[in-house]
Amino acid sequence: MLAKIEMLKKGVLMSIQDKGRSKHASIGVPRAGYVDTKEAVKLNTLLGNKKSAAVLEWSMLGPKLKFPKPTYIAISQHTVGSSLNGTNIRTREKIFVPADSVLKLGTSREKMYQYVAIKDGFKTENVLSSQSHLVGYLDSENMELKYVPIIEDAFNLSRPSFQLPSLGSNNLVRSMEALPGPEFDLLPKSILDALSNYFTLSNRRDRMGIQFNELVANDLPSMLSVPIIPGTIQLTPGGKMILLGKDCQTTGGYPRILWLPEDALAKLYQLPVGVKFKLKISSQ
Amino acid sequence: MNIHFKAYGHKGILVQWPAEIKDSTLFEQQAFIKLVEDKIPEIDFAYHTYQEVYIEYKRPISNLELHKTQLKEVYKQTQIEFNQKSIVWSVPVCYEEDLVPDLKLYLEKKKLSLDALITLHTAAKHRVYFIGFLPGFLYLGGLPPKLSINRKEIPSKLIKKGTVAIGGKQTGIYPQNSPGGWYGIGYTPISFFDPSIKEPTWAKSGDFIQFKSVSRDELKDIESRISVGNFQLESTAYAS
Repeated sequence: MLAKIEMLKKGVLMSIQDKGRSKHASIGVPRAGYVDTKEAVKLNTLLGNKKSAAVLEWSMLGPKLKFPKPTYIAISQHTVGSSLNGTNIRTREKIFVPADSVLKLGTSREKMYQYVAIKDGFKTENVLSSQSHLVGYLDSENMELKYVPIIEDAFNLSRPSFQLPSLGSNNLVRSMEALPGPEFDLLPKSILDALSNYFTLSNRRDRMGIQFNELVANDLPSMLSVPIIPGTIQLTPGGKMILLGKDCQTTGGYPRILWLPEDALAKLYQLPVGVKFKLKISSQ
Repeated sequence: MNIHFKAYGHKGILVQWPAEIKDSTLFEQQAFIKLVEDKIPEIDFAYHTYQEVYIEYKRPISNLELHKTQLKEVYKQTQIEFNQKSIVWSVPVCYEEDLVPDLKLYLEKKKLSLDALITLHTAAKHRVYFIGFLPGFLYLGGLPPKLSINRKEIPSKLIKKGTVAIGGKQTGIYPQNSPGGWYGIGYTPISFFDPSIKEPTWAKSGDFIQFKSVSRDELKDIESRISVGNFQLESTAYAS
């Protein structure tokens, strides 16, 4: 029997995410999936889940949830201010949740996206072989969050929790690896020079994309719609640089000047507003 | 060979045709995608737009040149089927101002009467070139040149689901509520995307859409028939 979580208070930009649904690009369906795959996989591993189990993702302000039956959870590393029944709890740790517990999830100054994983993954509706949010069709802000409760026994209760060693602070990372995109060859030297400057991320950001604050003037030709994939940086005629996220469209009409590998994409997506970084462009 | 191959990301290869909208390119892309998916098991999925095919492999590409050679070989074997039969779908549209707020502005800008718009828009067969932008959003060619209009400089915040809209030389149909920069000219009650069924889109690239003008009463009738599952789209075969 599944237990149903009661949503006492919603978080900001809450969504259920798993590894997403890349195979439906031909009918215009975004890939979706964890913004920070490494962190989500880490939490799932801590709980002994499948790597791709569904987790709850939010940004900045976390939700408040009530669990009717016992389970285990794990919270992402940099999330602060989380509590279980009023007691502060640690992150990146397997935490026992007794029946009728209230979990308040916190926030982070270092990372934009936070996660909570649950034993065996959240059980929610599945569309096109993924539980990930799909705008207009799978509304994870309002869906029922269910889970498989654990059988409470002496073994479960007495099991000590453990802490994994920290991987070090991502805040020190200020240089992001980037590869040339399909239209990179069209860039004149003036733009290549501009790309070696520092950039910062603007407030115009969601799971579809993030706009950079700095403009890069250009007169690149306009294009017909072409395929686009997460990690791509587009340059608009107005000089805006847009980094495409996991929920980006499958096609777009702006020059694809750069592409960031999954790790760099996750790191940039987790960067708070205003942090300076450089793009380190290597050849393909 | 007038196509080019380019790496895109760690797992992807783009196949590029000259940048134009052409039926022969579409047929070639469709045949090519079918053949590569058949012959190269390392490929995860592939899809196309007007002039590009994107191919994603299951694992990161370690030897780009090898994959390019393999793709070139498959391209050489690709045969276009001329005289292929296409399906023409008849899609009901109600062209009325209170259903689509942009219609009045569009007619003013184009200096067209509503009757002229309906006559031209319903006479044309609109080819489905590909699906993109939103799940189930069809990119349709074949717009009579008299009807083309530049996209709005500032996109509208909300274009309603079912809006039939013109942007540049194309018609599109919004399968869900969305911001958008095209001019809405009509409304259709037909659904273009349903993820709860195995094939969420019924229209495929290569098909044609022909719009059929319906009155307000006919629209109501179709809507009530759809709600009880008693409506089927009309379609005919067409040898292009």
